Amino acid sequence: MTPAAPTDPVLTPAMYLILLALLEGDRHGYAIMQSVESLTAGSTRLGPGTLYGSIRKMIEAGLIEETGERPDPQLDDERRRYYRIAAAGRKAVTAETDRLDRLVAHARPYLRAV
Amino acid sequence: MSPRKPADPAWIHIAERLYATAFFLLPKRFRDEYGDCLRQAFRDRCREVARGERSAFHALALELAPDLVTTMGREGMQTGFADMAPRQFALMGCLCVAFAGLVYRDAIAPPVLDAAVAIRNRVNEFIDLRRIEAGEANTRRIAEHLADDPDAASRALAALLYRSIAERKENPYWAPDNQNEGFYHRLPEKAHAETLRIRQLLADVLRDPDAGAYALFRAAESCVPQDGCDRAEVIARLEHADAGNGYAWTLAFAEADARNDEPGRRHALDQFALASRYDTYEGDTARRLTRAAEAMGLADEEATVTLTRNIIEADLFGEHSVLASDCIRRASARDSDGASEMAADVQAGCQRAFELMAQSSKLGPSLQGWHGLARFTGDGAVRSQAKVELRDRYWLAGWRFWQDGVYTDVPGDFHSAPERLAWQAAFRDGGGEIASLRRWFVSRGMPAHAPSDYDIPDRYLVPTVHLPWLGRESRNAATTR
Repeated sequence: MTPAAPTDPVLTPAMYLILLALLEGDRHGYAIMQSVESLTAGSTRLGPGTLYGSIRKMIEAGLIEETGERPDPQLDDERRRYYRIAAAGRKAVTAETDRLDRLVAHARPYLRAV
Repeated sequence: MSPRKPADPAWIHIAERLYATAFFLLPKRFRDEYGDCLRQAFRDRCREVARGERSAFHALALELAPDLVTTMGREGMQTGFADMAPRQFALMGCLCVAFAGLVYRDAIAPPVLDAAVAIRNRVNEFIDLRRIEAGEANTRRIAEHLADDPDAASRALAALLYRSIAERKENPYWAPDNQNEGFYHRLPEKAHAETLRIRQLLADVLRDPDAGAYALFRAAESCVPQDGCDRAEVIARLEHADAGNGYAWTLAFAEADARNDEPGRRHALDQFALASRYDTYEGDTARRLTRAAEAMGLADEEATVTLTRNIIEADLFGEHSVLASDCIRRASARDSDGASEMAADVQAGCQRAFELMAQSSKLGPSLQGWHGLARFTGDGAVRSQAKVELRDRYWLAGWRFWQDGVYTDVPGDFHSAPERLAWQAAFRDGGGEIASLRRWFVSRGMPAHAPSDYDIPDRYLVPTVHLPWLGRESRNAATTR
């Protein structure tokens, strides 16, 4: 088994899903929640506390950032805060995806045998 | 211009407010930074419910509430202890204790339960003791009030009230004016002050040549030989004062029985057979106590009504049962040939005694009388009548019977001040316990007589010498043949 590189950021499942949602574009909190639900085919629904707890940690880690730009101000509530994935976030989500990919690749032959 | 959005339902605002109320448990920094966002996301979730996309229970109870709780714990831990407010420390402590309790529940459950039960018992005991003391203080106040009255009847009743206090002190497990309340809560103690007071009051009553039957009956009930009172003398005087009253001869019989005086028993039974009525003057007692309580401004006081009721109902199967159980025991006894050991004249005396007791206005002797008649008579009509009368009296006594798989519940307890006052009003009119109880039942919307679906077990019709409420059978070792 290949150990994870020490520089890889440690992502919780919620953080990983949020980063995946932000790969599609800037999102506000509720939009992230909807994207995550869609990404996981409804199996994961982030609660507000989990979402913003993760967002706080990811901002502190530099994985995402808040953006002042609003995709369509006419159609949205100006009080909503939007988030954008940062370069470190892209790197982290890529690393995590690779790690999961390696795990999947490792598991697949055994699962086929079963 | 953005399209006008439909207004949210009112419940969303209420739920959001409740949700935000719980934010005080979040670390301040997190709350300040993301509180509005949390509310916004919560509102969005609620709108899903309002649109019918989710069930309210699923969204609120299974998603949003658990999410808030886990967020509190997680953010609290990550913020660190330095930033935690005292209330958050308290919550954390509670959560830790709860968690430890959950993990070690098998080990800590028994001692914790034991401790909880012990604490509950202590609290109950404290409350009960205070209630008993309050009742006792109330009894004492009324007794003092009556003792100030120069009338012999009032002083004798005062002596009886002091006797009830002394009984409770000396035998807290079964005291006549505190049935079922003194259980397990107090150890026996000597009632020196009460004994002294009773002695003084009885001396006054017996010195009074005009003391009437009422005063002498209450004096006889208050008089206990171990307190230095000559009960035989009181009863002898009573026999002259109210010879036509069977109750006087019941007391005489019980007194002779206590001394195992067989001639005395025979004499009392013979005299009983000549009596014309059976009157314990319990209606007088109710009126006197009620009047005293009203004069003292205690009319609506729970303890006063309870005291009056207990005094009226005391001795339900006490003194009256000595003669009754003696008759029943003898009627039940058979020699080796199966013949009754009871002499014909004794049987006639007992029969007469039961007839008189059955007509008593007091519930206890009336029950005893009808029981005795049901047991003694070979007349089917009398037995049928006895069953009707016993049903009626048990109905008034408020006893419960197992009937068709359920207990027949006759509410006989006070639950409110109006019920107590209704009881007091019913007894104030006099006529004795049975008549007063009927008035009270009617005032509560209950039938004055046993309803047709109210029944009593057959065993209550034919009591043997082993009457469950007596426990004094062994006392009557001698036989009257």
